[in-house]
Amino acid sequence: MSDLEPKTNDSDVARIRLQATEWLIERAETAGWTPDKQRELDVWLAASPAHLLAFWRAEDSWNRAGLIAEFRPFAPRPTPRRGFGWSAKMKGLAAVAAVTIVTAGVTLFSQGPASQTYSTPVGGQKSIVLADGSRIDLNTDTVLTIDNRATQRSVTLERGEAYFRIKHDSEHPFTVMAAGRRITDLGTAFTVRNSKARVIVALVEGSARVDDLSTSKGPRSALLKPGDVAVATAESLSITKAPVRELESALSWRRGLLVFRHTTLAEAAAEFNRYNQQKLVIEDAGTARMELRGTFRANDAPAFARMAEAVMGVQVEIRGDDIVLHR
Amino acid sequence: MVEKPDTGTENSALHPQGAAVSTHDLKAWFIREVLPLEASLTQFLRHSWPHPEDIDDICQDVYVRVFESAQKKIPSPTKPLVFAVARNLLIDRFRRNRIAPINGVADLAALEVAADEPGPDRGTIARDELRLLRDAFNRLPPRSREVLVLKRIDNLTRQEIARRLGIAENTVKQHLVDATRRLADMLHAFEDPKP
Repeated sequence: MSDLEPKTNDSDVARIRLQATEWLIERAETAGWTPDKQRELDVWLAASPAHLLAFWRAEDSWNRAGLIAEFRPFAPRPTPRRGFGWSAKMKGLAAVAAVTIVTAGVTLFSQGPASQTYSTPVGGQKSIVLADGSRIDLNTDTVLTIDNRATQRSVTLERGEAYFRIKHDSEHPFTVMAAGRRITDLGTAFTVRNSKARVIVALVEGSARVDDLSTSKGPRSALLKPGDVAVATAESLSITKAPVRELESALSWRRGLLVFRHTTLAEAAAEFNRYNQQKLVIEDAGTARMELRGTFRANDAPAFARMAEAVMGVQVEIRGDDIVLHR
Repeated sequence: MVEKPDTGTENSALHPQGAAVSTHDLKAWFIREVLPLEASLTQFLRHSWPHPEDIDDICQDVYVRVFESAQKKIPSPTKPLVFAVARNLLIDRFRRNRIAPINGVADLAALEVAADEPGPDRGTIARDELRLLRDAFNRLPPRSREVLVLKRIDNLTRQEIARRLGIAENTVKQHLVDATRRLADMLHAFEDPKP
């Protein structure tokens, strides 16, 4: 650093920053971004380090602005779910005539095939509205079977996760079976997740009973109140208490969002990987332990990786189908 | 909208003879280590230099110098180098302008201490990121805010945004440029909160 003459001859930094931002916004319009424009941008960037640095600076704020999803008041989206969209349809019908719903509604728990299976692919979601007005939202990679023969209302969550908002009827209790555990609705909204080794039931509203029928030592049972999270493993049935606010965050998948608070990168990656074919892989333990918070679109792992790169300073590499994060 | 991953298209600018550090590393370093210093750097410059209208220019000069040095070898730690460069640039400007660095002298001394403290850690920043972003976002003009959300979160094209809001496509672009530029200034002017 021997010479002390300023390097930027055109010292109008405001102008350079404006140009850099204009380039960035131009590039963000992916459809109109041609190789010619890229070359033009390359020339501009090559003209001076000041250009390049201003561009990186603008890009950093653009990437960070992706986090505004966190505090945006989310209006219900017109078509947030692939697949069914029963709920929107039902709302429309309700506005026209309540009677129509009975005939147009799904005729579950009545005549028809003995059982009916609903499933979602990785990244998919589905809403089912039952004839009694109960509603089931299926999350990614989920299989749910509805048993029509049963005299009681009964569904089986074969795998995955679902949110149940049940019209309570004490004469006809609603039960969910998941890997040998029976959840009985007692006036409720709750989620059940059936993952490989465990069944997790989180109670949002009302109450429900969990009976673990999977052990030979006789059934273990628990009565859940709002905020209770029951975790049934091969060894135990335990209940923990979560702030309802946290449960609601955990339910944000129904809006296509993942909400993290004090979540490690490893946990966040595992969540994303439930929703996407393109997997996030974390290579070193140090990176895995980094904590973050924020709200992200569940189906946009690349955006999450960009955030991690921009905000947390991790390196991001695309390798085949994987997005690899490391120091 | 899909942002382009780093395809290395920026490389052409950056490999003068003897450059040992890859653009990818330089960029990661610049975003992680240098940009978070902008708040304390500009604050220091404001204290030390009598003409506020020059601050952005000096800051940019500091970036360019530090960057050129990092092309040979990425400094570790970064903060002392950034402030040493800032100090040299200021001294030079004082000389050229033949003015006495009244505030500057005192602050240049104080600077030696400040530069020894570790720079803000991105981990800490990540936790405050949302609060900071929210404040900055809320200070944007309402229309720019709306346009930014439609673009950045809903991934609408400029044409779709224009149609939805009933404004010209070029106006949408201006809003986006304006919002991003303001955000950049506000996000980088942020003072690292002491825990």
